[in-house]
Amino acid sequence: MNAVLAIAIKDIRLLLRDRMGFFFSFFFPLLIAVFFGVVFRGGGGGGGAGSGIPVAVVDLDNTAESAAFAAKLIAASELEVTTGLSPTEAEEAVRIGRLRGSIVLLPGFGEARRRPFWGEPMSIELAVDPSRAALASMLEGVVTRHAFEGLSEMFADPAKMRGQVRESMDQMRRDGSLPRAMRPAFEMFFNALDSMLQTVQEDSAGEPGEAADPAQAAARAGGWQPVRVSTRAVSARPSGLPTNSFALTFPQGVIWGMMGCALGFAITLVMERTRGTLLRLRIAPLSRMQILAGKAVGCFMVTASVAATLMVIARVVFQVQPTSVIMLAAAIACSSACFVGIMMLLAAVSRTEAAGNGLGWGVLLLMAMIGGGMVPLEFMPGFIRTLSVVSPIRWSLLALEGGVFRGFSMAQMAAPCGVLLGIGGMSFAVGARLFRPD
Amino acid sequence: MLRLSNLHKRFGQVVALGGLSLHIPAGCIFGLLGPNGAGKTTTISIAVGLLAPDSGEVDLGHGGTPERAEVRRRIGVAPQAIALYDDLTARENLDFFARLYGLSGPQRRERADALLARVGLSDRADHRVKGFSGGMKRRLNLAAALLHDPPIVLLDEPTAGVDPQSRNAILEMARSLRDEGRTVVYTTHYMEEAQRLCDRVAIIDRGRVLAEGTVEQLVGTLGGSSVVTIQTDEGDTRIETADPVGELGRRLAAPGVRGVRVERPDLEAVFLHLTGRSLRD
Repeated sequence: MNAVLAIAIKDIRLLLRDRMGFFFSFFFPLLIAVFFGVVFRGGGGGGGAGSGIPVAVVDLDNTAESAAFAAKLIAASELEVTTGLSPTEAEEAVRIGRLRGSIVLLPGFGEARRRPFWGEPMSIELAVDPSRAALASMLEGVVTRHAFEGLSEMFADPAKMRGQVRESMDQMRRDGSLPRAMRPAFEMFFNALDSMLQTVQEDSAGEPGEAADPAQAAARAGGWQPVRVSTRAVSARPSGLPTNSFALTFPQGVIWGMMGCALGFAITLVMERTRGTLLRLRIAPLSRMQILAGKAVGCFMVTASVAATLMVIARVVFQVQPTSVIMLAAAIACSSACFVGIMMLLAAVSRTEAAGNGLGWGVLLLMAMIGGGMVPLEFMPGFIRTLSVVSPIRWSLLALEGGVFRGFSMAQMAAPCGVLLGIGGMSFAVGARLFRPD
Repeated sequence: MLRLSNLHKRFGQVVALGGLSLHIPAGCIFGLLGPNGAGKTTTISIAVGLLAPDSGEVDLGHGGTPERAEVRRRIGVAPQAIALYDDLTARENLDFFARLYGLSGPQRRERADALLARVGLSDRADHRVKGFSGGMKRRLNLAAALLHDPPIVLLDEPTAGVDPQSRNAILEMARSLRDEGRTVVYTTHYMEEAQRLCDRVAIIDRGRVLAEGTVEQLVGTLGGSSVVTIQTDEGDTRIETADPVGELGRRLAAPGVRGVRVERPDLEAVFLHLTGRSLRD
């Protein structure tokens, strides 16, 4: 064990003395986390103009109208809909990050849809992660747009609609092509509509101080608000404390740090071989596994330390409050173990330092691309999200976010951690098997 | 004692060792002399367990084979390639390698200090190796082989590419290791080094031992005749003889001798005799 630790400490010392390596393992990830945290500050760090947002649609009304509306959402290109979940299951899926939101069609939806001009409006409840404010707004917009389909926003503005009614009436009167027999019928319809709108407008203006707010005015108009979308936060933070954009960007920074460490250690192992120092290690009274274990321990210690340091900076400087320090520690430990395995595999297949650098960055960047390490997965097309399950970056990010703001329980953390440990163990075993010391 | 028996090793189609056998007695400097590619480094690598032979056996004393970690503790190796960490200081390098052999903290400090002094690097102990000259690195490379006080020391081309001062220091150190009772296996393709340093020499070529013995034995039996050159007013006379002293005694009595030169055969001549090629070919 002493020899294993000696190798680990030696490698850490060498890494700290390699300024370029240290920069890419620590300062570069920190820069990424801070830069994007500042860029997304105020936006909650998530959401945007992506397509195919994974959501659940839960129909609690179970009427023909609610089913038709759900079908409309399923067909919407902006959404990737999961159905068949209960409200609790959908909420849980949002909490653990499997879905970005849930859309619940509340009881009474169908009845409200059948009588849009009076009574209670169609009620839809969105459950979204509060840390993804921009995404929540986007979802609300998409749902509202579909709910308003077939109706018009002018129903919420009687004055505007009256103008359009009068204009239509004038056009009708000037239209010589309309048969004379039809004119009285149209006159009667437009006059009745105008009269109704005038009543609504006067009623709305009758309560001073409130008419200035169009939403309130529309609400007071009763049947003129055909849909009500309420948003409920599915908070991943049991403490209820607000999160910020850095809670999203620091886990990504940690991922970049881990990639830098893994690659740095893979290169040092290749260098041991090409520069002859591995020969001295092999002559020493150590087994092959002790030598590789020394490398693994060093890589694990540095990777975990970089991750922990970045999260301490996130906490102290950027007020990122992890929902669970224990879960975050577990996520860091499992992610570090995974990257140790990746390090071993990279070192095994790289014959030279240049090959290790090229291959390493190529593989790691690819994993980052499809795993959400560069662009959040919700902005990615569906097939990339499907493909992302093979990327350890995805699982590592999920685990880290689970500890930082998703409030994962131990059971919820078990899945990403299990995947990470599995990938790490397999990579290490294959790498150790393939590694040729001479 | 180190015994290598009938070692065979191929790298693809290339035969690196073709039945090489050696018995290296304890407490001597044993030279493996041969041109580049003769199989010296392959022999060393098999002897210390870095390479597995295709066939043959290695005995590092008391039946110990290099696959066993406790047997490898008895060996110190200074590889041909300088096996040091450039970004560590000389002392840190030695401390790290000493840890691998399980030396305690005080032991490591004591051994490192003693060896740094022995190779003349005490004043550079806390400097990073990347700033060292080739000779300094070679000396530190040698010191790293001695940290655990091994009874068998294998020096693979330890003077390759070093300045004369470092070369002399390394040769002197090899002698002192022998004087301490260690067995020193010294590979080189420099004939004069082997001749100057080694108690016994094995001449190796193409993976086989061509001859083995003391320098005197090899030169006496395989080196051919000495050449005595007599310089007179009429010119130089070259005489090949097995008895140069007797020949000189007879020739110096004759009148008109202005000078004499005696060329004794050396290991280069032995190699030439055995292979028809020069060591430097």
